[in-house]
Amino acid sequence: MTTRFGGYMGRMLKIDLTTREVSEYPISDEQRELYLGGKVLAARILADLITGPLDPFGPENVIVVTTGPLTGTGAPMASRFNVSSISPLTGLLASSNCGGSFGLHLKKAGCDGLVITGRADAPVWVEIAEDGVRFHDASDLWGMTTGETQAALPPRTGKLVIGPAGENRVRYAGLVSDDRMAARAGIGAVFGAKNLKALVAHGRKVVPVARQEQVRSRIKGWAQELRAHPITGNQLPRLGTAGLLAGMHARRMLATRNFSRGQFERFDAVSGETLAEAHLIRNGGCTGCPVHCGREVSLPEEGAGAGAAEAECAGAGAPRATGSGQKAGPKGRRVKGPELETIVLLGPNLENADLPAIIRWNHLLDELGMDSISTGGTIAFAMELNEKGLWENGLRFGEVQDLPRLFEDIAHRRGIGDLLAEGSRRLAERFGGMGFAMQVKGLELPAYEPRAAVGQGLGYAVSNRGGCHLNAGYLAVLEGLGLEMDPQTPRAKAALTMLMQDLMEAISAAGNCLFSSYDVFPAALLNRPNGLLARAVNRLLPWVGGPVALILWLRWMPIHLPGLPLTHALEAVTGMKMDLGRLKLIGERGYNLERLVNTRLGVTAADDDLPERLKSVEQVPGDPRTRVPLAPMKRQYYRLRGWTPDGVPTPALLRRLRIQREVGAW
Amino acid sequence: MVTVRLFGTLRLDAGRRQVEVDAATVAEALEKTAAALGLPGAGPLLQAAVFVNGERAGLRTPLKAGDVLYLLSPAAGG
Repeated sequence: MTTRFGGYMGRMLKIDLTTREVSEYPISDEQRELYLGGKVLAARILADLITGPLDPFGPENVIVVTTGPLTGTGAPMASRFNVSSISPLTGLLASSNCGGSFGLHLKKAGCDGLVITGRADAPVWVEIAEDGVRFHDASDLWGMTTGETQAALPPRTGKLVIGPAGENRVRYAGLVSDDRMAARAGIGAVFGAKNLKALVAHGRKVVPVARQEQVRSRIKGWAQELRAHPITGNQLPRLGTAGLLAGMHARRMLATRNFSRGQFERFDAVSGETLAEAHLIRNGGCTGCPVHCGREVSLPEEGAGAGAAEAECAGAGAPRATGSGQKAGPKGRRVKGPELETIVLLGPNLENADLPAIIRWNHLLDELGMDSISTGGTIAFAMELNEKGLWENGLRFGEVQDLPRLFEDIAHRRGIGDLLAEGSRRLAERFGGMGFAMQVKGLELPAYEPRAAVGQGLGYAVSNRGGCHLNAGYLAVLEGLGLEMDPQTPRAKAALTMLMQDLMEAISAAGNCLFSSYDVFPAALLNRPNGLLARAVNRLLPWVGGPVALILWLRWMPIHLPGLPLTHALEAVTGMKMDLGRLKLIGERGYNLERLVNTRLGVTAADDDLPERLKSVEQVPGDPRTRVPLAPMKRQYYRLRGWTPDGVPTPALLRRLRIQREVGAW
Repeated sequence: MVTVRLFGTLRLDAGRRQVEVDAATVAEALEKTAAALGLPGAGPLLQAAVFVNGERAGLRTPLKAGDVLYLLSPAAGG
C-alpha cells in the first residue's frame, strides 16, 4: 500500500509466527493523519486486534513495532521506535520506546512497522529485508545474553533482541537494540513466550520526504537550537540524565529506601556529577542524536567501591576547594553508563551509595535483558517485606554485595529469583504489604518521590502504562526540576498533566525523543531561576488551570511554538498540515485509544491509584502537604479528559476525537 | 563560615565540589564563592538555584555559621 505522505515507507507487515505467514497490514493515509505513528498508531492497531482480556504469554497476544514519520529522516533526536503489546506485568496495553538503530534499519528495509502474532514452535529470529521476511532457527542463540546475541547476528543490521530474562518470561524483561533498551513493562517476556529471540532488519531504502529543501533547513535549524539550549546543549550532554539527582535530593524528590524518604544522605556518591568526574569516558546515546546524553564509562572492576567518591564529600577550611574530580581512567571494558532511573532505583532506593557497583549492575541487567527500574523497585519492596517480617528472604537495605547473583537468579527464575521475577504487585498479593508496594497498575514506580511533586503523583496514578514518569506527563519538570511551581499544591495539576501527557504522546508518535521538548522552556527562564521572570511564572502556574482547560477543550492552537520545531519538521517531512493543536490532538487521540484498550482489558477508576504510603503517610512528619491529595486531582482530571467518574471516555469524546468511527466496535 | 556545595555544570566548570566562605547572606556567599573559584563576578552563580540547609532560598536569605548551601545549575528531565 503506498502513501501520499513523506516520512513513511508505506508498508506495515503482519507476521504470524505460528503459521509463518507474512502479509501486509493495511494502514490508510487517513489513519496516518489521525495517528501519525509510534505508540499512537500501535494503540490503534491493538484496539483493532485485542477484543478482551487475554494471557499476555499466549499466542493471542500481539506485538506491534512502529516507527514514526521522522524516524530515519535525519531529524535530530528522531531515531526512536516503539514496541507495544499487552504487558505481562500489568495485563494492560504497554508501549516501550527505544533509541537503538533497529527502527532506522526497519525503514531502510522498506517497512514502517510490524504486527507480530502467534507463537513459533521453536526459537526463531526473524529477518526483515527489502525482498521479504525470513525465519531462522534461533536454538543456538537461546540462552545467550543480549550482547552475545547481537554479536552472533549478521553485522551492519538493525537488531532487537531479548536476553535470558525474556526467554524465562521475567515479567519485566526488556528488549535491546545496540546498547539502548526498550525496557519497561515486560515486552521482552512476550517475545520469549512467542519463542522470538530477535528481529533483524536491513536494507538500502531511503525514507522519502515531502519537501526536501525545507527538511534540510528545518533539521539544521533544529539541531542548532538544541545545541544552544541550556538543557539539551549543556546539562544533558555534560551530565546525562543523572544530572538531575542532586536537585531531586535537594527537593526531597529522590526515591529513597523504597520510597519511604525523598532524600539520601550519600546522594553525591551516586550523582551525575560524580559519574562525570570519576567514570565518564565520552558521551554516548541514541542513533544519530546530536545531544548524546548517554554515558560511556569504563566497567569498574569488582572491589572498586564508592569510598573514594564519598570521601570527597567531606571537607573544611576557608575559602578552599575540596575534591579533585580525578577520573578513574579508561581502564577495562567500555560500556554504557547508567541513567538516572537506574542509579536511583539501584542506589538510594536500596540505600546503596556504590556507584561503581551500579555501573556493573547496569551492564549486567542490559546483558540479561531486564528493566532496571522494576528490578530495583521489586528488590526494594522485598527488602521491606523482609524487614517487616512478612517474607523472610535475607534481603536487607544497604546490603547489596550479593545483588549480581540475585539478578542472575531472577533472569533464570532460580530460588527467590523466581518470585522476584513476578514483580512487586504479585509479591504483595502473596506476602502482603500492598500499601508499600511501590507500583501503579503493576508497574514499579521510577525515581521521583511524588509526595514532593504531587502532580507527578497524579500522573503516575492515571498513566495508561502504570507507574511511569513519562506516560504520567512528567510534571516533576514543572514542579522543581526545570521550573519551580509549588510542588505541593493540587492547583492546575490536572490540566497541566493532561496537556503534557498529550504532547508527549504525540512527540513519541512522531519518532522523536521526549527530551527534544525541553527547548520549549526559554533559556532566559531556566538560566535565571532567582530572577523576576522565573519567580513570576512559578507564582502564576498554579493559576493557569482554567486557561489551560479552555485550550484543552477548544483543541485549537494554530501556532508553532518557538522551541518546538517538531511541528514545522513534521510538515516538511510528511506534507501534512501540522500545528501545535493538531499535534496535541494526535496525542489526545492516542491517550484515549490506550485508555479504551485498557478498559476492554478490565481497567477501572480503582486502578488509577497510588500506594497508600504516598497518599496517607506524610513525607515530612507533621506537614500534611507532603502527601499526594490524589482524589480531588483525579476527579478534575477525569472531567477535563471527558471521562465518566468511572474513568471511561464518553461517546461524545470519542466522536469528537474521530476514534469511534475508526474503531467501529466501540 | 558556611559551606557552599556546587552541583551541575557549575561544579564541572569549577572543577571543585565545595568551598567554605564567611558570608551573612546568600548574595554575599555567591560573591565570595565566585572569588574563591577565580571568577570575575558572581554572574555564573546567579544561574543557580540556591538551597540553604535543604530549603529553597533567595539572594537576600540571611546565613549563619555552619549553614550548608547547595548551588544547582539549571536542569530538566531524565
